Amino acid sequence: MRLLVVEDEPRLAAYLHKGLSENGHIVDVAHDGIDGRHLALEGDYDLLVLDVMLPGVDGFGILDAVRKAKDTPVLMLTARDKVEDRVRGLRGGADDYLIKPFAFSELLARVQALGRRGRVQEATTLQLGDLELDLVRRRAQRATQRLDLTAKEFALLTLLLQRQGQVLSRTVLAEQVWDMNFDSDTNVVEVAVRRLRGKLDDPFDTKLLHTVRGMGYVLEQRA
Amino acid sequence: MSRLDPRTSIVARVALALAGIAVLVFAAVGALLYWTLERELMRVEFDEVQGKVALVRQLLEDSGAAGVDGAFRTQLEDVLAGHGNLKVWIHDRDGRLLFGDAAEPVHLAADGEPSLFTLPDGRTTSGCRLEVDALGPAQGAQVTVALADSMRGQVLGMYGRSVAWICGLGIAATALLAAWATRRGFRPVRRLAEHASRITPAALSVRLPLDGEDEELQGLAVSFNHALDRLQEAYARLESFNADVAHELRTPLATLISGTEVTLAATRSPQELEHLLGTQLELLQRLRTIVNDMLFLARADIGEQAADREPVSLSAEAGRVVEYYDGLIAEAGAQVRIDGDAQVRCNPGLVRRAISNLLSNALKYSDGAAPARIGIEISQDEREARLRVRNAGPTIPSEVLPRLFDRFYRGEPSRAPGSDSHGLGLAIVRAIARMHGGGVDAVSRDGITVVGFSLPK
Repeated sequence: MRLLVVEDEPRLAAYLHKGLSENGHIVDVAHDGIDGRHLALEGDYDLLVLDVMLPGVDGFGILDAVRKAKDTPVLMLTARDKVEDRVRGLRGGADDYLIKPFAFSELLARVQALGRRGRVQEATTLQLGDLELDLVRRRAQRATQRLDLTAKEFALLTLLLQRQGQVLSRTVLAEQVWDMNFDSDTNVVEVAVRRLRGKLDDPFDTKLLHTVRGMGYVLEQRA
Repeated sequence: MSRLDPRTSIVARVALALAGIAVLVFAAVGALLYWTLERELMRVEFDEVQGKVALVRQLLEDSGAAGVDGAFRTQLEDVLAGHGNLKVWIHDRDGRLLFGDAAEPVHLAADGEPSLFTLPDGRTTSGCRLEVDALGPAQGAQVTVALADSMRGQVLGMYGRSVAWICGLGIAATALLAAWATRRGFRPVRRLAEHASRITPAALSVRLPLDGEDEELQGLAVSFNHALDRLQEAYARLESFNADVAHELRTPLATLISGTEVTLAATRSPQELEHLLGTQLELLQRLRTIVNDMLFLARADIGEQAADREPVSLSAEAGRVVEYYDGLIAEAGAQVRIDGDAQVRCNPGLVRRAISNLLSNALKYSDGAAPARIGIEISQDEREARLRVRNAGPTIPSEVLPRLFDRFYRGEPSRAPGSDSHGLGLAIVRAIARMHGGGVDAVSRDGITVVGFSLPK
């Protein structure tokens, strides 16, 4: 995807540029509101990532200008999680918002979710190596062996499989699988993943579900 | 002396009101005195003219057939000479003037009653007229007596001016005295203000003196002192809270700094660097969680209300939270049971968070015979919906219970280190309840602890 990131904090902008580029996106960065608005209006982007507080024109200003011209998806970044700000952003036509400090994995997940929006319906079966998920009949199978998963374990595995190769943080998993929009101070997700791993990986030689220290979990085949 | 503005000063207002009262009272008294004197003077005048008119009639009657002749005139002029202030007119039956000054027509009823009338020059004076009913030429004649110049007007004028002066002085004196007295009366208030001005964050223990204060101010001073007690307590809590925050942030920061320094001090393999970054990321996430939770609590503190409320079944939300904790519950070998249900309008995400914190706490502090049994009890009446989480665990001393919902309060200090929690869980439960206009409660007795919240319907 072609992305425009408008962020005035140079280090954060550099990290976003690096991280998103390494995840296969083409990224342009603007460091103030005026450049940002210009690029957003002139360029052809699949997604805009706008910081709210910017020199020149603020994020809401850019959002207004963009919405008058086109319907490029917009993800807002804000340090203020006041309800009014959220409401203002969403009412102004932002598609999603992230509150600082956010994890990069969370940003990536949302960027991809927004980029996918509007694409044709997703597949009814998912596959990775010898793992196969039938989303219609809600059955999981590895090699020839059927995996006996609870409903939530199935949902967790589905999400990991849909985003295979991508690290998903505990926060993203808690939000997407259990609809828990807060940082729990317990290791609930950790335990859930451990139990899924017990059914998915433990009986087999090839491990698919990996822990990425400090970041979360990823489902992929490793050499 | 400070400037006294009635809009802002009680002393000025009271003094002004007293001055106003003085004006009214003095004016009323002055008017009353004036009126009394006027009546008295008039009575004296009336008596005089009545006496004189009777005298003139007598003379007229005595003159008999002689009528208004030389002898009578002489007699009458003698009488008038002794009373320079009197005027007399005599008209005969047909209205012809027999005696008196034609220039001053007088219109009076011939009834013998004294009354006031106005002279052509505008002055008011008293007069009296009567008809002579004696036989003879004087029969039917009308005798009129009037005071040429009423003393009453002069006396009253002087008296009125004196009264006005005296009243004016009285009012001025009263106003000054009132200002002085109110100022003096308010001295205790100024004294209290001086005491109060000594209270600063550094000297929060200063209290207003209660002994020797007037009873009107006692109540104020007592309430003020109570407010200060509460303020001091809150301030102390805030101070310890700040210290707690600093401590909570300092530990992970110290780990981050020293870990990074140690790692950078030598050449490290990529694996070692990766390990360091992983550890740092975990610490940073912990810092982020603390900062986010603190901001959440701060917003609840300033009275932010829960947005996006919708009708929610507490039992259904509890069920979802239990599902979330499924693995953890199974690994802890616990059993969780949900009893009852309640419908309430609330923000489901926030309520799930509250239930999650309560359940997490119950799991953490459960002990006793395995499997640990945790009960989520939901009930409602017409006013509120309640959710309580019950677990078997160490009894919490009753003096500690109220502090359970304080920030960074942990049941037992020994449990704190290394534990996953940062001590804000129950504070967040309380914040969520308050954001919905509800509250929290906790009971701990005989090894059973019940902690919960209530939400208004």
